[in-house]
Amino acid sequence: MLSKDLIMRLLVQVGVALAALAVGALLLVAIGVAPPDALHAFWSGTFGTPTNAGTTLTQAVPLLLVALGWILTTRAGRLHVGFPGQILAGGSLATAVGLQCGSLPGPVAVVLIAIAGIGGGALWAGLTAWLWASRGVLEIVSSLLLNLVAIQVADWSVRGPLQGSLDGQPQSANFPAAALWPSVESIPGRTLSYDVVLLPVCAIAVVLLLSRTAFGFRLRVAGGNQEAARWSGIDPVREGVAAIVISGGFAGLAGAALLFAGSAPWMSDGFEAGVGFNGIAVALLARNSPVGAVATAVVFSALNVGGTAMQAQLDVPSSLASVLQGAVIVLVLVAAVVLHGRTRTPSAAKSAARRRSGVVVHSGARTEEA
Amino acid sequence: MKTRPDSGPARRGTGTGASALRLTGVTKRFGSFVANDAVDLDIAWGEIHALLGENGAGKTTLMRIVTGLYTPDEGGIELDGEPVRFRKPEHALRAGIGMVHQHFTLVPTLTELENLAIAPAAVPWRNGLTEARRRSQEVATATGLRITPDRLVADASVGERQRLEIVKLLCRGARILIFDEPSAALSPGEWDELANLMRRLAADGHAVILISHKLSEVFSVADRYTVLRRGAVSGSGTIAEATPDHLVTLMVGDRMADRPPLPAGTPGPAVLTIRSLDVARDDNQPAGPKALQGIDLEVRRGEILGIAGVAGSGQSELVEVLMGIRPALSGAIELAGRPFTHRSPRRFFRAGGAVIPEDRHHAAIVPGMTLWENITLRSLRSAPLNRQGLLDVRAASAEARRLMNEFDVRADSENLPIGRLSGGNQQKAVLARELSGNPALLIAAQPVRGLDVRAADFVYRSLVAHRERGGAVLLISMDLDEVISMSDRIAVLAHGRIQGVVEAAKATRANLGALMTSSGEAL
Repeated sequence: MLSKDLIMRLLVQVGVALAALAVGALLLVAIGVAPPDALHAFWSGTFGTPTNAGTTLTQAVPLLLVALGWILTTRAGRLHVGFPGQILAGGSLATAVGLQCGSLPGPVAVVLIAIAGIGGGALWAGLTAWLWASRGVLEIVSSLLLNLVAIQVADWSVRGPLQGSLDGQPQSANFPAAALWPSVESIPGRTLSYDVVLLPVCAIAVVLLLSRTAFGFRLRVAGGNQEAARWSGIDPVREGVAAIVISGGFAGLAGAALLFAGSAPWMSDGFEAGVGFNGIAVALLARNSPVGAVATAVVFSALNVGGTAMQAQLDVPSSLASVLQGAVIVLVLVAAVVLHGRTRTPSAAKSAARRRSGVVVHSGARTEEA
Repeated sequence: MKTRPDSGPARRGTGTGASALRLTGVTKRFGSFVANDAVDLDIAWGEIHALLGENGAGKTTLMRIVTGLYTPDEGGIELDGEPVRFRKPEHALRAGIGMVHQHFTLVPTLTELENLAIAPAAVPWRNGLTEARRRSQEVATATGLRITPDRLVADASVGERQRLEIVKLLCRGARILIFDEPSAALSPGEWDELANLMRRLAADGHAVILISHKLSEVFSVADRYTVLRRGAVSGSGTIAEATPDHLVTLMVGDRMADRPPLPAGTPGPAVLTIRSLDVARDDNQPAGPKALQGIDLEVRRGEILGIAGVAGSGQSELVEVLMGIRPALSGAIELAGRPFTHRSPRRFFRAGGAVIPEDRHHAAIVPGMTLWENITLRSLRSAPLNRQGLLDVRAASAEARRLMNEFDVRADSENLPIGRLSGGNQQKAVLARELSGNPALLIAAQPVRGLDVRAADFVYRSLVAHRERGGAVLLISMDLDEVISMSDRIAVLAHGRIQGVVEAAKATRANLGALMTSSGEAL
């Protein structure tokens, strides 16, 4: 029963990948590039050399962090899309702290910057959480709107308080070397940041948090049935707030990672680069499994990096990568619907029918009681 | 549509008209449960016919058949002497049968006229407002029922909304009107108005079916009655020849419970004390009508106190206040010897309370989580299963397995999602969870609802065992047999007041039923 589900799931995921490849091949043919050439360029650009593999893995980290935030909030029964804003908030605060860290020893600076990133993201998410918990504003709406606010705030800060380059560009001063997150020195170009350890560590931490801690348990109860949570002494609002704030912390850490483990050692206004929403797609593609999200984050990162490589080598527009990502997202949604329909049809339809007849049996009593 | 309201056949008073609606041998089964058992019902034009019966007696099912929500398994329906078969509610409505629901089907943000105009239109772009205005004026001249067309429904009182609901049905050509517990939401003055209206509709040639628990209302307006008990007709006749006692006996029967009475217990000191508790019906309107008024209750150690009463008498409010989910207006509660003033579910459990909620799916289980997680839903969150925030998962599932064994929860594995279990096993899992902490007070709200006989029996025995161990049980049930056979003492709750507390040994269905129904006048 379970293994059948699993096989079905894997088949659908392979199907999504194949369909995405087919879409990509069609597009390539349409713009006059031979798919084998493109494939070669894509491979060498993503995993073909240690340098490129390092880039791919490093860029997967922010995606995974956002995905983990999404997974936590959905487990608590909440749904917010404020990751871009939280990345910007976390990145801005991390930049503000990082620029002051020049004289500190490396490890202290790294930890401080990470904490600043987490704090910035959590604070920004806290606005959403507070609006929801105390004012009843739907978190999906407020988080979406706060993204727009965060974009403006980040724009302003790189033109104002954080502006640091001499020629008046909208970007901060270069981060001090001590503040940059360390990377593996043996790889040419030092593209592999040590923060890739966050990939397995954070995924496993989220798994353990959800399954092995009282906090995670309360979170899942609140997300599984709000009313039952209330009736057993769990405050679903508190758990929802906690989940939103923690997910903001993850997104803020992603913002810090984007800047301090990225290719450019400064903050510019566009550093978020779509990671916030792509992270959601990463989680959806992994069907909200933290461990699965590690793999899908690498896939998404590879699409990004490989798209750039194809542009460099074959003059394929890099927007092709975005098109492919879009195609994957749509296909994942389709697959989710297909899977949902499939797992429902045999067992759930029957139980739904049973439930309905159950309701009918008591409905006489129930309506009269009302 | 054969006839329109203005061309309806007989139009003479009190029950002497030609047959409007005749049901013969109508049977409806849900699985093995027979909701309606060969019911015969005869409604005449121009009469007010009362349909009486306890909860679950089959009144609502019968009316759902009449209004086309259900199709009967056996038996036939005749309208004006011609057999009809409704497959959809629209069919019944088109044939002139309309129901005034307990919960109105109005859109509060629209005006009264706009509400009248909500109807499946023949052509989607036609504006129904003119037509609705014309029809409502026709209805006003025919019956004297006037609406305020341009007022928002949200601004109308409950009585006015009910009137609008009736006008809506009349506008659509309803000739047989079914009122489902119409007085539930009304003040006494509004009820008098409604009673007059029903009489006028009947005098006008319409047929009126009144579903009610309140005998006083039935005696004040109805011409004839039909009583259902356990899905079958237990009696019918004219109101003029009936007495309240007779109707109560028909409703509740006079046989005694088949379960042997509880052995006499030895109650100890009070575990739960409630003093002059007042609770608003709507949390947001403390000045509004009250759901509970002046409640004084005491549940002692080693005692099962039953709360009897028709549903909606304030039982769920009582449970929610005790749990701390709903605020009280005034009054004092003591739990396990300590004042229980700042109430919350957490504090309730910490003070030694436990609860089997009435609505299992809604409030008691998390269907998507495993059986063991549901069984340890509360114990998992405190020591020893929770050590500084870290869960001892292995010990928790072992504990769950032990409880599954003790409480006879049947499942292949404790790792199954509880949503896949049968209702009986789910309820036993809830019972296991709530009794495992050996609570001082267990609130059991309808604990056997929807369970088969064996599972129900297990729940009963567990409650009694808990009582033998010195626990206190507050048993809330709509089933008189259950309350009588399961309780040491029985408090009768009606219209938010305790109407009396009866020792179980002296309780009969008849005297409890009389307390439950006859006291409607007090309000």
